[in-house]
Amino acid sequence: MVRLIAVRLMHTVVVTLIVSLIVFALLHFAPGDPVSNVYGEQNVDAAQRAALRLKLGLDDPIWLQYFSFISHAVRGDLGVSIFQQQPVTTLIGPALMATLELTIASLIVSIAIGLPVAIISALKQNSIYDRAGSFFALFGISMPSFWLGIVLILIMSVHLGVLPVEGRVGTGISIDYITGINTLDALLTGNWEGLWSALLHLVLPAVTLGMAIAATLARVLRSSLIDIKNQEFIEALRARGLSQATVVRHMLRNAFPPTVIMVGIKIGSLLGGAIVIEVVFSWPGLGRLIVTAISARDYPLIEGGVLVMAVLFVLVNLVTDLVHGVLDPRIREGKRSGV
Amino acid sequence: MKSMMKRLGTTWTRLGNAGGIAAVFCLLVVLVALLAPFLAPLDPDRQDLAARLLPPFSGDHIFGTDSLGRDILSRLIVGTRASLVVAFTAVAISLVIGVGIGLVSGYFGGKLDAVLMRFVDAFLAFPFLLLAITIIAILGPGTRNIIIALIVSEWVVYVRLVRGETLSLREREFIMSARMLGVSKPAIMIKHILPNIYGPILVVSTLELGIVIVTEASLSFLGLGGNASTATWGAMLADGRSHLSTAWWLATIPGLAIFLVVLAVNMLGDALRDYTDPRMKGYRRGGEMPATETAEPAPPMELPAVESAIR
Amino acid sequence: MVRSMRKNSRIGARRGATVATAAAVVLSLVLAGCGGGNKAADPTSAGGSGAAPAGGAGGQLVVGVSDQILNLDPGLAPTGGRETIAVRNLIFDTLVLQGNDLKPVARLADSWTNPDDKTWIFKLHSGVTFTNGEPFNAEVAKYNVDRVLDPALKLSYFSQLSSIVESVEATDANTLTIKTKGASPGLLTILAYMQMVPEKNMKEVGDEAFNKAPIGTGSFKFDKRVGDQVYLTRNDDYWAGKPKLDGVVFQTIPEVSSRIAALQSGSIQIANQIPPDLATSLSGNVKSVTVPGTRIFFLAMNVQAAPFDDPAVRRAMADAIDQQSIVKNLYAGEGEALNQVGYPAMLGYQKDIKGFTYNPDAARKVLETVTTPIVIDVGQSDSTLAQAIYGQLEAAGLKNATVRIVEDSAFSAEKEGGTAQAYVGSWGVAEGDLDAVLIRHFWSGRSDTSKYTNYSSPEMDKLIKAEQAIVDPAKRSELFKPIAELLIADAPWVPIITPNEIYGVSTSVSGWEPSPIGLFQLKDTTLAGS
Repeated sequence: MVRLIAVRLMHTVVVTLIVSLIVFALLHFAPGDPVSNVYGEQNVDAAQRAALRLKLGLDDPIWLQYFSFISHAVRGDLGVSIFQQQPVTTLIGPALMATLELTIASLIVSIAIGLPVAIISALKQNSIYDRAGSFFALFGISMPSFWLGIVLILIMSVHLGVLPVEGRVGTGISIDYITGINTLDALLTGNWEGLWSALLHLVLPAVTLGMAIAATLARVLRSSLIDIKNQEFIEALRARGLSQATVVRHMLRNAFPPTVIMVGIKIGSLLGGAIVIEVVFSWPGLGRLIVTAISARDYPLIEGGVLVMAVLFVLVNLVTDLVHGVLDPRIREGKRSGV
Repeated sequence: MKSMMKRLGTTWTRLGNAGGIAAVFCLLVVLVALLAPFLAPLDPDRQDLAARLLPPFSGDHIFGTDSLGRDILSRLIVGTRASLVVAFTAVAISLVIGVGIGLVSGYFGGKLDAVLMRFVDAFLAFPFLLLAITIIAILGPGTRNIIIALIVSEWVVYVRLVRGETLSLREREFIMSARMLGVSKPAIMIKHILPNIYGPILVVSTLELGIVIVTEASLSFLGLGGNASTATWGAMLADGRSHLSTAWWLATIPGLAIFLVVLAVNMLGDALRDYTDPRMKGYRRGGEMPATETAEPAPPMELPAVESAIR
Repeated sequence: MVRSMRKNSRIGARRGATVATAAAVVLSLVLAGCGGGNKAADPTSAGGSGAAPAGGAGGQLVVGVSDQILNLDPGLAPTGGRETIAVRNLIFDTLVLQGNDLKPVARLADSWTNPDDKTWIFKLHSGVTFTNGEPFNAEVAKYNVDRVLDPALKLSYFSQLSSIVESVEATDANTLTIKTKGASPGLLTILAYMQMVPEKNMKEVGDEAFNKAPIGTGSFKFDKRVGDQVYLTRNDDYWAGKPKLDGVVFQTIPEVSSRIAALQSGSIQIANQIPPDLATSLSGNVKSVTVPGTRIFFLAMNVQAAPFDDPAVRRAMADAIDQQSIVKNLYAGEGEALNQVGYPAMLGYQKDIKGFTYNPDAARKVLETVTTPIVIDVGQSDSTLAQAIYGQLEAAGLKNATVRIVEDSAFSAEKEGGTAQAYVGSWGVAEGDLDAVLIRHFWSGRSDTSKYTNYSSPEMDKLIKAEQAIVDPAKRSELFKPIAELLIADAPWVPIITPNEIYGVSTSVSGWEPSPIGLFQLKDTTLAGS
């Protein structure tokens, strides 16, 4: 197990390096210039522009820029955002937490919806419930999330006026920054007002994002459950006259490993995939931060942001693999090149 | 002819009603795409600024007009082709790349596999939309480049899937024996392993097809659509989104089109999964497969939904 | 001026501090939220009516803006878009202010005189202090100008100001004298953007810290940033009179549907950048207000690339475009159809020239002979306009044309490199002076390396030089006439529209007028009590 973790951490380093190389290469081949974006339509002469280029090191050869980025990055210094004049780490921290909060909330939503749907669908395979469940799952997958998001806003915020549209907390509500996850911080400081506001602000984005994961979750879990349902040991359990609930519990325990892997991968794509949702709901998350940075060509911020996302993704997958290993003893032996 | 009908009949039964309907619907959509120029009632690019945002059933405009006074129905029909071309091409090419690399990686294993897998991980770890945004920024807009962006992010899905299947298959007896009989490595991969993983590949491909269509819409949402002169569903949806409260049909009609197609494709994928998974129905596979392989039970399905629907 | 540093994002921020204020606000929100009835479950969404404590004046105004708020130190680049400038404009004051008619009016400078074309003497308002207690006087004003002129700092407006200003003197405590290198009609406009910072504080804390906690003489004080929000509180001692609101929050909401939804649900009271199509949907407790804008939208053609190297083709393109129809239909009448480079409120606009006119028959004769494929590039935000233009060109017989939507940064690289064959773009002329467009697009002596249409004409250069040598607006207006005519004859641009600025505003807001240049003057603004 320890060796496994060591190897996987090595892999993380390699993957991160590859990612950083790809980002760097992509960025420097992309047309566009941060300096011209900095000044926009402002009347700034060539000399002043050149001075800024020099200051940002944009005229250095690309390998030198990469080397300097990497050598700073390993020391935890991701540079300073060209546009926001703040250290990249300062910008990424809260944004990452905002994205994590949204991700976790969406996962909870998706489990709350996906789990029952999957169980009912699997138990009553091919029944009307199963069909309805499948339809629901496909609905979630097929709906472009920005469309769903805007429709939810129109219904819940504009017409019913029950949920807020934008941001993470209401204006005027202040939550002390501890972890950066608002709901948690509010809970820790006993700030009930803040908690309530943060929760309300979470609902729409989390539901929008959660719908799509719920759909995938329901599908994967359903098919695992169906596979297991038909296996002999489940028949045996039934034959022994165990209650339905107990049987389902056994089935779930066996269906979880693949589902956990799936959720792990999902978290990764959630971290990046939440971009659209973050734009629609003005959620100040990492995805939006990076997208903004890309369109402005804020190199340090893009590189830092993507790197953080990649590391997080790899780590999340490492954790899910380990959890998978714990849940499924068969993995611990065998399948050695699999990880 | 009669046997063909019969075969169709059996296929229908195996796919189930839902799968059958989905298959027919998909066929219809493909037909619409092929015949688009003949089906469109009006010129899809003809603007009439004085007749903007007409609601459905206004005069000639069954689905109304968009923000430039163009006929939505005609654009929807013509957009079918553009959207399907993007989706099919992207899925097909990434399938080929992914299957190739997956087979090699899974079959040879070892260092090659380790290196390839790190690259796959890197691409998986790279948030998809960001990859697409950067690629389109570099290559410039246009249908071709959108397809490239989609491929760059799609291929890993198939590598993962195929590699996993190959890993478990290569130790099977029938592969071992083929190897001992001196069958060449490429031949083993293509003739013996590949046919055994058709099922999962087919299923994942249909799922991915849906995902790709939705992704194209998301790209348009983020302002990375292609050529403004070509109608695609994604671009129509993205253009209409700010009018949702005042002219709902602009975004809702292409949204529904996307929804229905993705729904049909997914239902077809589900049905195919049931169809190709022998444990599901207890069907023996048809006679298409060589005897050596039918002797082996198909490997269990790897997880289809490795990639996200929320891009 | 600068339009924007694109979309937006979270600005790293620390919560905390000003607990008392926050608590007070929370309390008032809770009270108001309870009284607010069934409006919204979230007290903070109860909005305008809710934000004001019962009894009338005060309350916290929330403004939803489309773009992110960047640096709050006025010197640092990027200067940011209008949203950022608007926030700073509340925190800081400038010597002069650009009024809603775009002409300079008094602010920290009570008055100014020109003894000669190169000398400007400003009489400063006395008794003004920064919110940290530092006095504002001519010395501080001089420091501010010198700070921008310092070549070592290379602040945002450095090259603009240093090309004009010869010397700055604080003649006495309340008199500032600026000597310019030549006649400089543009000086006042630059000063309208030079926001005064406190000398002592800036020297003490330095740029970086100042950017995080800016201090000015303005009507509101910086409080904090939380995520996408910037909080300002009232400056009780504001020299021009105490503002009525307790505070202002600027919240970035990039997606327009969400911005409107936030307005309708009451969590914000003013929203900027409302598209004309949606303005009509604002009803009930929200309404739309408009003001003529200052941004010129145009079709630009590369005068060195076929087929646009032929002026006849460029003029035919102009003939093919029906500006009136675009304004009337696409913009619901919310804008000014342009027949020349410039909008009516601008110095240099020529009322009595014919300008570009819609003449499809004349256009057809030329356009039908054009066989070169044409690609019209456009950024995402203006793609609808570009498609409408494309539709009109096609209707006038142009074949082989396509509209390409290009990613923002790639688009600006292309424009500035002069490589686009044709593009639909826009240029902000908040200065209200034709010269601001000329020196960036049509003057071959410009030093910013941008190429745009590759237009260059010795005659134009001569005319520009003449116009710049004089300060008197009336005389300059005369001199702009041949320039406007030359631009019509050469037609590197087909100007299309200057759209109105449309804001959505809650009916609970009074005492606020939209500004054509995106500023928010909120001193006399009030929120109706619940």
